[in-house]
Amino acid sequence: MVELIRKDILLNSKTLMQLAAFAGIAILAFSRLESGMAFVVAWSMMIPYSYALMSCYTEELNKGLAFCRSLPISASTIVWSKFASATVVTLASGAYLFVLGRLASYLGWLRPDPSLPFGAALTLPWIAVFVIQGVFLLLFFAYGYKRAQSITTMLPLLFLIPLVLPQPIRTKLSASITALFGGTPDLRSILPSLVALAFGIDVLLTWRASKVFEAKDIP
Amino acid sequence: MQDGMLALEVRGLTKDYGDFVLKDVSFSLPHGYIMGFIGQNGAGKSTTIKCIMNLVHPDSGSIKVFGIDALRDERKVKQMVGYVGEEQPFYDEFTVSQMARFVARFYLHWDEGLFKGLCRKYGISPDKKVKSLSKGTRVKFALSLALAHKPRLLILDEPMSGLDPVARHEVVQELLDVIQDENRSVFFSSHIVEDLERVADYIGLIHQGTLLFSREKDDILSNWKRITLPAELAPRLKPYAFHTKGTPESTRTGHATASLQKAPVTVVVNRFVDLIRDFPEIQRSDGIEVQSLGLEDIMLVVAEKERSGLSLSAGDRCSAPLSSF
Repeated sequence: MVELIRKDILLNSKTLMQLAAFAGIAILAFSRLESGMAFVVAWSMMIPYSYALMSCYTEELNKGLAFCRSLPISASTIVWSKFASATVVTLASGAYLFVLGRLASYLGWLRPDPSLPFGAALTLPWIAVFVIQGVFLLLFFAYGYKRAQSITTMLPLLFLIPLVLPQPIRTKLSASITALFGGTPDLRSILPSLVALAFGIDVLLTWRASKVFEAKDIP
Repeated sequence: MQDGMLALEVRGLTKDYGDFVLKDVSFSLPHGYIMGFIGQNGAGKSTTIKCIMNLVHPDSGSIKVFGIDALRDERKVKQMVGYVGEEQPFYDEFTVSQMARFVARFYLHWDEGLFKGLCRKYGISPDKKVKSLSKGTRVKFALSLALAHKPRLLILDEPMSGLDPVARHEVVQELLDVIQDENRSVFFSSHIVEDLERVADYIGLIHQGTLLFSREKDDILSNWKRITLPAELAPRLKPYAFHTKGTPESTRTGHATASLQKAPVTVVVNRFVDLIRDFPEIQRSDGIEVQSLGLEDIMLVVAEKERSGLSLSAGDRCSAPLSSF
């Protein structure tokens, strides 16, 4: 498993470095803008998702799944290693962006929203990242890269659905949530649960991907 | 090492793709021998090998490698198997040594010295990126990786496919050295049979998903003959014949004229040893010519029979006892 994770990260190290450099430049350059925090949040989603895409693309390009399956490695280990390397990159990029954001904040360039601590703002996108990564891995191991990519590219749009709902429905939804939590939910208090839930969904989808891949014929 | 142990035992292997069916393939390879697995493109060679490697899941049948179920104990079996596929799907951005390091971690008996020695022998530079290797060198690299963990069974699936004649000759020379090690069993598929004919102890011929035979090469070569003889004698060869060419219709119906009866016909028999036991005079008769067939000729005869509209029946399969004809 460790060797598979190492292989994935090594093969995509150039892309990761480039992403890290772009993120660094973008955050430091634009953090003085009023929407500076949005850049940090966007990159905390972009790096792990791009890595998941690249890692699977490299696999497809090199017919790596066929090669790995010819080695004494179980199909499920191959799938779980992809999940593990994506999780490692999500956490590492989160730490990197946290340091960058703190630096920008220390320099007085970045002004985080006082209602949302910096760490929480960085963790928030992981809810989407974990779910999308899980869906992507399942589709990749079931149908290949192209189909997985085209479907998951559309997925972030799902998170915009609340915005396009008619005002009365949004009001009702908001009221229901308020009733459920006995008041306006404090994002800081429910964030760990939401991230854990998203991570759980990711694990479930990866488990399903491993079952699909175990039963799949390698052409 | 146990005498008489089977390196590979395949029983009733079936895989239905809809437009192609691998039908009830059964054969075995004793340890220390080389089996050539021949057949036209699309005959089912790669599907069989992919089933053995558990890359493709068979619908039914069993596969045992040194007595271990290859489908249930996949990882254990793959520790004993060296595999070189038709394509060599490596991670192109890795260097040769990075790729080897990656592969080495998964094998319990990886021998780094052996791998480096093979690379030196084949002129493979460890610092070169895999993508910069020529096709021939890529095959040699695949062979080095497959051999470095000292496999007891080497499975080669058309490794020379797509190589130019010079590269193919080079690779064949290297392969000949490697596969003649008697402590190793080799299962080698190819549609280029001349090399297999030189080294194989056993031959399996697969055609349109059906294994026509799987037996000792010498046995095949001594049983498959092309006999040219007067048409009047052809019916006597029927029980031993695989394919008859040029039989006048009138001879078949029993109303042949004298001239037609004397016209020569060509019969390919696949039970020549039985034939000369039953009719020893056939080798001494005037007007009868017996020609030996090579493996390639046999493949061509099989294809010709199929083309002439005579579908290959269960009776054409001869991994079963000869009496089944």
